[in-house]
Amino acid sequence: MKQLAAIALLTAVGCSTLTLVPADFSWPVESELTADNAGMVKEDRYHMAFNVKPLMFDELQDSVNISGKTFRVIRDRSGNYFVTGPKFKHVYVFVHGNAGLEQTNKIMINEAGMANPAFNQRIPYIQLINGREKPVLLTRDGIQQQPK
Amino acid sequence: MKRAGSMLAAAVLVLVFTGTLAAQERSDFEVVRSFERESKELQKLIDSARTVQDCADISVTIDHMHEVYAIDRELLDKSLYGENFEERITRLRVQLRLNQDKLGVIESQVSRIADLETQVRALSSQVERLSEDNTQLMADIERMSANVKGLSAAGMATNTMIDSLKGVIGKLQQGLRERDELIFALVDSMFMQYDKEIAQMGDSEKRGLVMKLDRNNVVQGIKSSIESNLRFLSRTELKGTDLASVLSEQNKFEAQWRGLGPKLTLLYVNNKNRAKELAAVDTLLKAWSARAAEAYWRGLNAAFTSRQIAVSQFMNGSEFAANLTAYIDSQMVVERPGDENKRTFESFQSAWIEEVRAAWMPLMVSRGDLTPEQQRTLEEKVESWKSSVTPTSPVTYLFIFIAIVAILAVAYTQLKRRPLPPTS
Repeated sequence: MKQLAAIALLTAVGCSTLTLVPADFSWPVESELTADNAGMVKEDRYHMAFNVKPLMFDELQDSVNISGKTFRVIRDRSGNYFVTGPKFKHVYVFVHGNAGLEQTNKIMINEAGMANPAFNQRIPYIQLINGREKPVLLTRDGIQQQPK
Repeated sequence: MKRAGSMLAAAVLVLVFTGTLAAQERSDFEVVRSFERESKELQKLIDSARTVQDCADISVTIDHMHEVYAIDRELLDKSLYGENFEERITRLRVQLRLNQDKLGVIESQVSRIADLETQVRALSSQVERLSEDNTQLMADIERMSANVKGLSAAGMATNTMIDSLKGVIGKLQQGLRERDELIFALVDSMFMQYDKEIAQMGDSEKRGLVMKLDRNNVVQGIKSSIESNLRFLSRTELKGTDLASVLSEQNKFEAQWRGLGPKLTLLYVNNKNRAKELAAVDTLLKAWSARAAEAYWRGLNAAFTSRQIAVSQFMNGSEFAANLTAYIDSQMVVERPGDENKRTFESFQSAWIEEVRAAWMPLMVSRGDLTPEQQRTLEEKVESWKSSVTPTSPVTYLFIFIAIVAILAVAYTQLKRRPLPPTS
């Protein structure tokens, strides 16, 4: 009986996952990334790169004329990536997936499309500004504060 | 070299006027990007600096950048790569100092010129602010004058309305005067940075000074000053001391321009457009002088006519002295009751003391319209008229009586004390 209990304890310890908290993944400022011919964007400071073709297709139904297009990317404290760009109607939220970014949300911002969107880090939120329009505060779940 | 100089000035210009982003919600990314871009441009300027003035310009620009971005210190500390905000500024200052050493420029010279350049920038923004205020005041005057005129015609203009209009006119007059002073102070601060006559300046120094003058729109600023003063004269109906001060201001401005104009002509000798602008300044100044002189004589005549004093109209100093003397002479011999004589003199005296002597005479003498001799003669003339209309006061008679009694008493006492001659 004692042996069985010892085995169970060892198994429990061996299988438990460690969680290191608190953690802060936030970027102090957004990055402006420009797509190359292959649809790849590269962030030098944080050493990351990803393909934006599917995103372009989802948002603008165009994954061909992608070279030179700019994207705004920022990461919140919990590690979610917020991505948008000029003419986008939405802000996309991603998390790290298996060798890629996995979409967790798609937040509708402006039916007409945004002219010049930009993100600011406003912990615990991500602030989205767009020219002279009222800024909105976002979390991975959506808009937290509607403009008045 | 010339091209490098132009690029330097253009870059400084960009740095001076960027930095402060629009009042709308700012993008942190844009703040960081602007700071990075301006740091890089400053770095290029440091590398291309060749003169002590270049170094001073850059030094002031670094200070300006430090001041403008201090509000974003926290953001920049987090966002700059490999260094924080203060470290970046310090790095630029150190690099400038190293370049100064390489050029053999003395730090105290740079500091002195940098102080003057800081003054130039402060004065320049004050001129800009005052110009905006004055434009607003001019618009207010036009609106209020139209209101007062309309209501006066209907007999409905109130004293309060007229007083507020006068108040705004006074404010604008003050604003124009301040702006005129500032623009010349601005130019002085620029010339002082070079500390030598134009003829002794090298080509690169001349180019540097021209760039500073252009960057601060000096010629345009002087033109605007004159135009504003002309507009002010044509839109307002000034009286008395206000008019005297307009003329005094015009004289001062003209004297300052006489000092500055030839220097600018030398500096802009190869620039046809600027030469044209300088000629335009001379023309405008002549127009201002003529308009002010016309207003001046009209105003001086009005000092008498507004009080129904029948001094014949005059348009120069000699006529003024002659007509005034003739008027006083005629008044002194005219036959009328004593009270009326006194009233006429008192009305004249109020114009004489409150307006003519207080505001106009010093200006007339300083302009050479009236000689000190003529002034003295007129003063004596007025005194003589005064004596002729002022009856001797009973108190004066009393004093004279007391004095006579006192003299007699003293004489009597003296006589009494003198020993009597021995009797034989």
